[in-house]
Amino acid sequence: MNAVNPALRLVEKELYVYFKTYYTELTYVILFPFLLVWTMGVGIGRSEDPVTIGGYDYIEFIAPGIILMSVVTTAFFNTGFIMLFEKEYQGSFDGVITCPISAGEVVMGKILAGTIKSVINGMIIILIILLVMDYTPPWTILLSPLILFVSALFFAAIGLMLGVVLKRGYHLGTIGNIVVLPPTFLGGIFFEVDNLPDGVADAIRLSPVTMMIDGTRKLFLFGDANIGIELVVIFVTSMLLYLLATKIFEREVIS
Amino acid sequence: MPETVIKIEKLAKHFGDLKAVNQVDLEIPKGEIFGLLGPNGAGKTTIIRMLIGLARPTSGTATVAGLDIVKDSVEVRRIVGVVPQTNVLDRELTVRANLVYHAKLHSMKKIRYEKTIDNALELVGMTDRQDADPITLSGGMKRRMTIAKALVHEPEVLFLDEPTTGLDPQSKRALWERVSALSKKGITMILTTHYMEEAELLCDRIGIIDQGRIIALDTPRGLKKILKGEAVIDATHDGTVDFSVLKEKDFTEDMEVGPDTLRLYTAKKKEAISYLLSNFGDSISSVDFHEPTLEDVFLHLTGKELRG
Repeated sequence: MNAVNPALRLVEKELYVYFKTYYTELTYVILFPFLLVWTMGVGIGRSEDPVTIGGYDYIEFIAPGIILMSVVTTAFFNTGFIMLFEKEYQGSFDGVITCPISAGEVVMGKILAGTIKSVINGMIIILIILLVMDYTPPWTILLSPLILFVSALFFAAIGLMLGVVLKRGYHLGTIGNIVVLPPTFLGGIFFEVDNLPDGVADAIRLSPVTMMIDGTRKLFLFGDANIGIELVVIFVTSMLLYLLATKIFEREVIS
Repeated sequence: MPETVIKIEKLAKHFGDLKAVNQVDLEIPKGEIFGLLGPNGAGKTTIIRMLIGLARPTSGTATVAGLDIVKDSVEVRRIVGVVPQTNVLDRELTVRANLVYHAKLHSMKKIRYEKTIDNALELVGMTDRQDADPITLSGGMKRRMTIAKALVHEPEVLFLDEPTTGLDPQSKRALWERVSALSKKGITMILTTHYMEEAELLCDRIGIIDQGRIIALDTPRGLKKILKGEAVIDATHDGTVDFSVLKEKDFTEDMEVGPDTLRLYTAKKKEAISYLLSNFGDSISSVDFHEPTLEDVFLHLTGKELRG
């Protein structure tokens, strides 16, 4: 009887490598919060007419979205690059697919690994931000791993698809910027979506990425634990992306 | 009659108009080392990829140990070991950790894989390098490690896809010894290669493959009998002579004439060479002879160089 699904073996191995080389991650997760607090807090906060949105300091308003963006960017690029690197450069990917593991299990393992790593990074970033920012969060911040997890799942699935399809690393970089930046920027990281014209705002609110940002902001800022709809929509969309990624994987790898 | 482990019936794989594998029929009994010999692009790797479920056949069927290669592909991969053309090493893991990772992907329990990893490392002669970082290994060692990886789960069938390509002669010979040792353990093997000496040395039977079709299938000795005679004589000439008279000579079994080459298959090499030199000596610039090889068989059957 097989106790451990092979997908989890992929996760185990990626986490092993992740922690083995954690010093590179650590550089990022420490630098990023300081960069955020300094540029936004010092740069914008010291102006004579400080910006506030809905009664919150601007930095408080944008911090949840930026943390989310950091998590989903890591999920996307980590999953995509590892897939592409193993497939095109290292050759170790052939060692995996010649084992008794299905396409769905490979895809699930890779997506889960990227998701878990990016959520770990995200939690450390949150801790550091809370330490360096003069801000006391509501208790709902404790629920943030949930929204970060489903959001990372969503972007890890897209990253994996591109990692499977693309042949060159720099293409992933270019396309990644198109995939990650527009929906996160438009999703209201830096402004209130309500300020947009009605039709545009309604359309943007339907985007799962906007729900990710709204959900994160509810937990970080508003103390609102009512994120059920956001979680369900993002999770279901992520699962659809997982199924699509499995189809693409089968088409590309099992030709 | 030994049990058939691999059974292939009218297997085909087309990529658009290209028939990479074209109506291949093959049966391989348990314990045999079967060689697929052919030039690059002949369809060898495609056959292996189909047998392990990583390429879908366009038509035809095949089973490995009774398992259907399409419906039961994951189960097929549980009982086969694969040594692909590229080394499948994870550079973030040590040699042993690579093998442990492989064992876990095969759902093996620790108590079993610790032992099989020791055995695999010993077989490929890498016990003393098990804690090494793969990037510090030579090309030959990486290849041996890839073979060890394919053996960890104790496969019934082993696919070796051009296992010695890119290796120096010494590493190549060492690897041949290891493959021979494996065959003594009763593992059925399919080996693809474009090195005739490798196929001749290791394989019980050889299928010569060209343009997706198996054009000849026999033991190495049997294949060479396709070429009548005990020797192959190769001569180069200035293109001014008509060699048709040779066809009538009783020392000629078969012959092929090119613009500046002559190939003669004969059972009487002394007589043939003597005749050539006495009658065409002015036009012939060199004469060479050798025992028939698999490459000669391939050339004879296809008119193409094996390593093309």
